[in-house]
Amino acid sequence: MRKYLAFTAKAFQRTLTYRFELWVELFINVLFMLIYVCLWKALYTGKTAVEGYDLNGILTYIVVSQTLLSFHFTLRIARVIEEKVRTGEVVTDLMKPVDFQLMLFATGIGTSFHTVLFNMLPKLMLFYVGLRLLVPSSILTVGFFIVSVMLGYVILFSIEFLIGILAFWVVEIRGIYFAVIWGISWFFSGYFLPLEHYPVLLAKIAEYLPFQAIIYSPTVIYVGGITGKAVVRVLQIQLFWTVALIGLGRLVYRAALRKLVIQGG
Amino acid sequence: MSNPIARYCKLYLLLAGAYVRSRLQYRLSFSLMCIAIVAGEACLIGLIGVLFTKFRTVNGWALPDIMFLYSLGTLAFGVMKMLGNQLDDFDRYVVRGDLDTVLIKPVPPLFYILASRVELQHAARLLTGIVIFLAAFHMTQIRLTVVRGLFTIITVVSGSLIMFAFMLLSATVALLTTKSGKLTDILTTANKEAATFPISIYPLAVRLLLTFVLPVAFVTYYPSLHLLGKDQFLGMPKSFQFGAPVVAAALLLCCYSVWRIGMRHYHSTGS
Repeated sequence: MRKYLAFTAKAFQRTLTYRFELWVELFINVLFMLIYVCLWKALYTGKTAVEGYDLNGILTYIVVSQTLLSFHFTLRIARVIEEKVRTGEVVTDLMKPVDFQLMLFATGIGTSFHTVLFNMLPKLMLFYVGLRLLVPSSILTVGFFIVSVMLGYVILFSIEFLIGILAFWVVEIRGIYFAVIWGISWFFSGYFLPLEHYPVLLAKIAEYLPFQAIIYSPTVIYVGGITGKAVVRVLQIQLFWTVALIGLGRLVYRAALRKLVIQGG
Repeated sequence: MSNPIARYCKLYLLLAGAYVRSRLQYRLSFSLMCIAIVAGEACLIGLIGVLFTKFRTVNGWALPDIMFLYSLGTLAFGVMKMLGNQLDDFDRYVVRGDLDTVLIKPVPPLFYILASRVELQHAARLLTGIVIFLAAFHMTQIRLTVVRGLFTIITVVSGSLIMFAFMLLSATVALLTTKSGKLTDILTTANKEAATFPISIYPLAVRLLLTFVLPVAFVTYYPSLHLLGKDQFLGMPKSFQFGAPVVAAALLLCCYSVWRIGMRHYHSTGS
């Protein structure tokens, strides 16, 4: 445990070094969220509620989902693995007496913890000051939300890990990375609009994919779109994906080791 | 070969050709990239499609109009990504010390940097953009005349130059701070995103920002007003519909000067 915490601390410190960039990122993130807030305000002119969301409800949804999306920007584990394979650095990692997947997870946590503290929380607070957003109905909801965010985070990590491991087979994974993370994942994660707004067929497909568990699940819990037993069910589905994807990652990683060809640094 | 322009053109083709050939060696990776780009664009326009089948219009702009804005943004973005992508991860270029090897070459550094990497896979993005553009034109039932075609091409070229100027600016940040990865990503994608929707949805401050500071409104919005025959200048001069080339030239000049200053203050990382 101690050794993994060291990776986390290291990653956290590394992120701290680039102050200027972090301010720029926060500023432009806020601009991004503002785009969507404006869009939804304009879309809702003359309407009271669509698919169970009134204006404040949808704005809360968008602000929370956009905030959670920040993990996508900073995690970048797939790119980290690709870089390690390409430069041959992976050899030194394999020599370390640590589990490769856990080591990367620990590193990711360090980076993301920084994102939560200095990017996500400030953004959320800023929009709470500027808009009349909903607050979760109870402490319990907040608890469920936090659990759901964490499960979603592990799912995102696991998907990135799987993509990253492909670098052992193909020279360049950027294409797959963008297609999955910025394409399919975005489409089905519900970051852009709640899945309730999707046509029935698409919503059904989204339901069977892990991507909705990254952003849609925690967000819909937060805004109170689902309550009671439905929340527990959503958490169960998230847990299923978490276990399944971590397991799959380990399997594929083991296969990758047998395939490993170092291209020379 | 005494004409310097012809010489640079030939050199550009030579360098870019070498890079493209080296990339095409990895057929699988290359095809995957192309598919990825098309899939990414399709997903985004798909989401917008989903949104507008539900809500119909925003401030009088229906789905075809939005597709129009989107395609102009995508085309400009695509051209910029194809020809100027070397600046995308310029921070690594600086950190690894690759820039030092460029500085000893007998050509202007920026020329060499741009020529040495042309990402052909973004042609897939251009194709997607053209398809969306033509579909939008078809849906709005505006006739695609030669004049409109030319106007569109000039708009796209100006738009890509405006976006390239942002890249140049963040590359300059990389020169001075050795870190700009996210800045570049977000500056270009956030801009493209902002330009996807009619700027009339934004409050005045943001409209001013997108018009005068990060003038991405000239990439999509103002030219679209001309092509779609809309009269939503929101208090801005009507001449803005033709403003894209002027803005592109001015912005590029500014950012290039900043880049020159950055180059003069560049210190190698020594790694």
